[in-house]
Amino acid sequence: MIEQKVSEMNKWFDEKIAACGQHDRELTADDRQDEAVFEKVKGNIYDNYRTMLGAGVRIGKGDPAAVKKFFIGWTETIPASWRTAYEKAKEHNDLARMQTEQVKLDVVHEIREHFEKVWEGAE
Amino acid sequence: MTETEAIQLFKCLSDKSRLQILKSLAIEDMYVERLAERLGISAPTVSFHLKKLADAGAVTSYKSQYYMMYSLNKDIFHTSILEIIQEKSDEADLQAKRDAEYRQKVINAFFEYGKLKSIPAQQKKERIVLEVIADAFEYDRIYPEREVNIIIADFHDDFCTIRRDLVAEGLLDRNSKGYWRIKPQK
Repeated sequence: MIEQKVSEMNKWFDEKIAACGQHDRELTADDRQDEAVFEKVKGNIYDNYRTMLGAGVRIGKGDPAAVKKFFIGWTETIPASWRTAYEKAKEHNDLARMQTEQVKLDVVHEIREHFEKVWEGAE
Repeated sequence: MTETEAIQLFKCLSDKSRLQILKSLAIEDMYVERLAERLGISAPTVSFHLKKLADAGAVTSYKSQYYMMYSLNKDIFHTSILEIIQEKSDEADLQAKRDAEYRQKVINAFFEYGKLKSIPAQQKKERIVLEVIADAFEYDRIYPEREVNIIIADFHDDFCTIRRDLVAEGLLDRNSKGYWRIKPQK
């Protein structure tokens, strides 16, 4: 059961990473370097969370609840500093930094939502 | 515009989205959502680019009713690239120091106890050597050819070649009365 969920998540991560890579190449070819960097950043975040899911599965020893606790925990701790950076940028009306942090926060939000949807009924 | 500002501006312009934003603003002042609609990119991405453009001095903003309007800073685009290049470099002092060091190295290599060992084959080095010899001539004084030859002979036996090269390099000039030292242009 859990293997199926993990496999579904990994497939989703793979598709997301591939899409980011594709967008990155297209944007770079179109001389839109900064937007291409956003795609690189997004791709890296998907990749990191895919690795974390694998670690969660090993540490949770197949217990879906334990895996969920581990994984959801990382969707809260890692973006904490990004949220702080976003708030600080907002204080200084630094729209460029705000967008950089927002892109990262949006990806984690999306990952978490998708994980919860996939994991539903696994516990 | 300082060198740092010019680099920031050029970096900023080397992005298609930002160039498209500037093209839109060249038509009329616009707010973020309108630009996003025109260019097919998200509003936060437009804001991101506008911030970079504003930091580089390419756009300015002002409030109009509920909107923050953005406009092209035309002044910065009236500056020609030639003007930017001709600005005194932040590195100018360092370059001047390097030039002085190079000059001294050439002088040390070609002069020994005030005598020219050989005439450099390389034009850049010969120019430095000739400038040293030209220093032996006073400004605002006309020298007969014989005196010129004697002064040059103090440095090197081949005074004919050096005298000719001093004229060719624009360090000395001559007419029927004699030779004189040319003042460097400021």
